[in-house]
Amino acid sequence: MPSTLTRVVLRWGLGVSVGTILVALTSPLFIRSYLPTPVNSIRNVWTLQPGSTYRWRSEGYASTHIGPLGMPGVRSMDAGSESRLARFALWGDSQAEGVSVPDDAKIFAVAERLTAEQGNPIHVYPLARSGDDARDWLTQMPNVESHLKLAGHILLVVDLPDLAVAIEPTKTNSRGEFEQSITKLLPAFVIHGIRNLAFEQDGSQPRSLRLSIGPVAPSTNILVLPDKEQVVNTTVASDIWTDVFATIRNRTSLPVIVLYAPPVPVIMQGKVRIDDGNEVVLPEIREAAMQSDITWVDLREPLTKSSLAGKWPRGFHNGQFGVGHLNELGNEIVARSLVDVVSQLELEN
Amino acid sequence: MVFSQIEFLVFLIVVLAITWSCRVRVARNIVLLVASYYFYAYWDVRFCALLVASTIVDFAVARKIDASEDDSIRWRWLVVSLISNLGVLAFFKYFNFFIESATLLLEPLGLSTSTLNIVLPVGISFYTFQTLSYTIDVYRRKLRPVSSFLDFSLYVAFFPQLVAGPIVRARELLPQLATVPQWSKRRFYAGSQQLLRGAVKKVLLADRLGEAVDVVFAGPDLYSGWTLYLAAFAYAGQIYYDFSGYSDMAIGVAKMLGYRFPVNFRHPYLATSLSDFWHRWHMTLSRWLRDYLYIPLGGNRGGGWSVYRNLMITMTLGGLWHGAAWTFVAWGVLHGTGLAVQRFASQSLGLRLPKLVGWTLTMIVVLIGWILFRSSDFSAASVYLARMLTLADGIDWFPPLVIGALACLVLEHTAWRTRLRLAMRLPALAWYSPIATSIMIWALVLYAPKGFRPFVYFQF
Repeated sequence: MPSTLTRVVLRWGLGVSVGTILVALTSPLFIRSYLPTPVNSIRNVWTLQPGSTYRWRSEGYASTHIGPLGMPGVRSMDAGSESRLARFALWGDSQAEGVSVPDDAKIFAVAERLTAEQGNPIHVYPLARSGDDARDWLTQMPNVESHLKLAGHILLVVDLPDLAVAIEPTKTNSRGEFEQSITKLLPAFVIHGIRNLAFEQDGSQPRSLRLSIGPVAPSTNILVLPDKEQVVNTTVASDIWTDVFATIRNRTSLPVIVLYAPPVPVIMQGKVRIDDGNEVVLPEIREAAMQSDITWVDLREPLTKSSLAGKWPRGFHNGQFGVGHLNELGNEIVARSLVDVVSQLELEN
Repeated sequence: MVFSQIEFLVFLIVVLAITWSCRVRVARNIVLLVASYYFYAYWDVRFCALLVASTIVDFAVARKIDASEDDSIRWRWLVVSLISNLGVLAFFKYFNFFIESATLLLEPLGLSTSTLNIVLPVGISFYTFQTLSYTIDVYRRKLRPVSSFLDFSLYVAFFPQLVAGPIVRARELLPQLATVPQWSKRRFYAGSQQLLRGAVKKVLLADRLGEAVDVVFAGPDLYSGWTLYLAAFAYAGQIYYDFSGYSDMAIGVAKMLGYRFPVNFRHPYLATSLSDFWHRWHMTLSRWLRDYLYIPLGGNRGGGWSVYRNLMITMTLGGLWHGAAWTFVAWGVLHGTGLAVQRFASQSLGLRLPKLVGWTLTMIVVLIGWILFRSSDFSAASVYLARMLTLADGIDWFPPLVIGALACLVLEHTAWRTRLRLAMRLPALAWYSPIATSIMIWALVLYAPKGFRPFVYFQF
């Protein structure tokens, strides 16, 4: 006959195990996946594991098949007769990566579908990764160009600083061994739990406990909302753009198209803000792009038009409309602009 | 320090370990007093001075009241307590409100006023009411003044109830502080379960609902009528889970330390009348207002219009207690009017509504009240109500997690009326308790929304 203490320990041990199993079974409904990120030998950067499925569970619930070269949403590379189609690389950050929308709604998929419907099909290869900027794109361009036999590059730029850093030194693309091994060893819900407990909200810094008495700066004590007058996009010095586009042009001789899709209109503090804060500098940027034979396409108008018609291209039901990542409509707006400009380019050539 | 912070967990573990190893009453109370002041100073050490001042004044005043048999002297000392407590509250909480309101009247006459940069000390409304209850009870000869300054200081500053209640009366807590509580595994377990339940309510439900509420109430003119309905329901859920979650945590922590606090919420959205609602919502405030305001005003005595007047005064001041803004006053007036209408219908007209009708009418008044309560001003509230009632066009936003949290609210209220009520407390010997406990802890770790949100009632 086991003692009372043994019975209690057994009962709680068993109960906690059952509870944990239930959490593990239901966690894919709510928790994103944590995939290994091996270095791709052609791109020479880490990518999500080809052949795996990446689950996004934040704003937008979608599952993304990770294709060859770590391309999100791509099932297979083109072959045979299709290989003669013009091929474009799509670069950008998480907005172009599109893991928050289903594969068939991602920018590249919509663009391929639209061009096929028009009888002039192209291939678009989504090479964007979350957190990437121009330094990452430029590093990969030469190898990818030759490997994929590209006809051009498309850069989806949401934040101008992501483009401006093209003139800065190349950054290192490494992910820690520990981070790599932990994704192989532990289930996603355990990694997520450790991350929530041990790190600050953004996951970049280890959590620190404040045990000292107050007062403290309000930012650490209360929920901080963006300032009312804060401009949406960060302005960048206007004299660098000639160098930025020259740097890009030096890296590739192929056509380059920049799709400028700043996070506007945005809903901040209950108000719709249309100005991205870069109105003054944009003509200079466009001019600098033209000098380097780079096509600059401004998507503010279609994005604003759609928003003001009540169809918000950014945000999700399980996020917030008017802020955040491009949703299915936003992906479609970008894809349509991409198709228009590529068609134009092909006509000119 | 806030109950839902990890820092609080560290603090609580240390305090529990020390207090339960202290078997000498004075030593135990000193530990709890130091812990309570640290808890308050964590927010802002400057406000401790107010707490000390309030403690000294009310301790001394109560002794003076008790020392005299002369009613006029007793009354004068009570007035000292009322003026000092309400004066501090008026200055810190209402000074700018009164100045701004006066400005509206004076500006057309060419007169100008200016406000002061005053920071509202956390919990001032709560501990002011607690200390007032002490001196008033001594004045009424319902309570003998406490002889131990340490016990009284701990009563005022006791950290589980210091910043947002429940409003524990002196006669409920002081006798408990006069002895060393007996260790009880069962009580400790029940307290820890209530603490966990409160954390789930606050972090997983209230904060999730709050994310959508903040966005919609910031710009009601952008959203569709149906989304405004959803956000109004979400706010009803948020404020309930936020405050009842806090109360659960406070009561749970007190239990773990060996003390009993009064219940503060009893599923208010099951109320079938407004008076029933106030018997279920923030019950310790309701009974404070009843015993120290409504009854002294005359209560139900006298009948006729005086009862309606007393109701209106009590509820209006109750509204103002919640915040220094006219929207809170309007909220109080709405509830006061509702209670008066309800009384008139039942007492004068003999009207007895079917429960379902009573529940529906109550919830409509409560929901309209919450819109007033949450809106930044009357203009925002009127835009909100107008767009809601006309089912205006706008962004249709229906966050699934908000709908899920509201479903929890409905299920919890429904289950509480069934035999599941006991099971919801997760009894120590029930087979499902370890499973449910581990799921709740995992859920807190995995699914807490990003960003720290203070408890809604901290602003009051």
